[in-house]
Amino acid sequence: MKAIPGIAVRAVAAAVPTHVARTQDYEFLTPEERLRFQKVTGIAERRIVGSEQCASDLCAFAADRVIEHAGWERESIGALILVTQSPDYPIPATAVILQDKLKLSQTCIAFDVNLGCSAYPYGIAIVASIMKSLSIQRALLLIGDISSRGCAISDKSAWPLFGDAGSATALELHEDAPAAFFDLMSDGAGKDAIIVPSGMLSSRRPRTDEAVRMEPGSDGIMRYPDNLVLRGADIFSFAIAKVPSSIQRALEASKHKPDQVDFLVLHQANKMINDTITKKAGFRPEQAISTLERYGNTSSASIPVTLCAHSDRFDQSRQLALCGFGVGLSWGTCILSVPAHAILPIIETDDVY
Amino acid sequence: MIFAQSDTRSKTFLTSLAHVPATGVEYVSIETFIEKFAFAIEVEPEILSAETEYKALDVWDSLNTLAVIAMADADFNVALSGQDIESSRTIGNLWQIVEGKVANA
Repeated sequence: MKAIPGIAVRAVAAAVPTHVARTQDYEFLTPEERLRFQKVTGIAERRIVGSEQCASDLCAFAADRVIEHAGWERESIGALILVTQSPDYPIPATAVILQDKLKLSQTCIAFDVNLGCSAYPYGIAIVASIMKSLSIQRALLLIGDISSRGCAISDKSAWPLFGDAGSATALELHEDAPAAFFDLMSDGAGKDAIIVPSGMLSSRRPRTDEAVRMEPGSDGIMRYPDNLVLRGADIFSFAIAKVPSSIQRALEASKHKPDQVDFLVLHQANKMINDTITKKAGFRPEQAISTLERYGNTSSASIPVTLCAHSDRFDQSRQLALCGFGVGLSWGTCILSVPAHAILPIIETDDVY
Repeated sequence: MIFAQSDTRSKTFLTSLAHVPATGVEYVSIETFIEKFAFAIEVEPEILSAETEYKALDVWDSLNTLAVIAMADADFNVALSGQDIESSRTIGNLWQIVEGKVANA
């Protein structure tokens, strides 16, 4: 049984920048296309960082909030794991930089994990496993991305989907905490579905002395070699075929039926994908809380952003099914209980930490 | 005028996605496929035939690719890939791919 008992969620916070980018203002779609895009994807607007702010800044402000809410001494935090695909630098790992910025102890474990849309269920499993096996009492799971910096603005297949966000989840060992149940999956045969093919850390296609210029992809869209390429049809096909059964396996492991779960929180991909998965997994539409309309696809941070945007619905303890899916391909589900008042409202900030 | 009718249509389309997958589909006629295809991309079935080069239709766009993949999943329990859409030219081509996957299921 893929269960980890004894890990309590103390607080979840998420931070976004204040700048709003609206679908109706996107210049690379015609007005008719903008309406149709908004109807199918459900995305009306997103938050985009300024040129100075990084994913780690948003995560750090969220971390301060959860530390404060949990009432923790910073020296008591034994692990900081950051899941991101937009680190501060290619090297070193951003989590280590954050250990210092957040004034955590040098005894704190810190490293980055390179996952995107599946970050939340994977991140909970990784942090909970380390806490249990190394007897680490308190840990921070930070998750965030600024996808806007990796996409070409002219790329209408990707740019109008993504919003920027960072998050923090405070976890604590507690023997009475209910078990979390996991179903975690991978399929690298789908690596080309979402890929940044080149750039400083790309050994398959390293940087050369030639000037970097835009080139057309197989879809005719012009991109720099280190821009994100997203094949929406392949992701859609994968998501509706593979994700509902992951949710069902995790529910079976936890002995829950869909109607015994308060909220299904899916990675916020787009409305058509999420509506299809919700129905195929046997949930009612109102169980699936969403932030697509206001925040778009916030990549790795989409599940905590969606929790926090609905913080007013967490004044009592809740049973959750959390499911991330996408880049890798990587997907997974976590059945998790959160106590009352642990989900904190969205933070808005344009500051660099 | 694709938007005039699309609200009710896409609602019906999404609610038609069953909780239980369409297992047990053994054969898909071209007529049935055209009817479902037309519903998915929100046009009248009369304007389509097996020879229609669907990606040349005025209403066709990349979002319709998603609608057709969703239709194949909901109505025939078949996983169409982006490559399946790219490699097919006519509705008849795509029907053959779906029919082949149904036969091999």
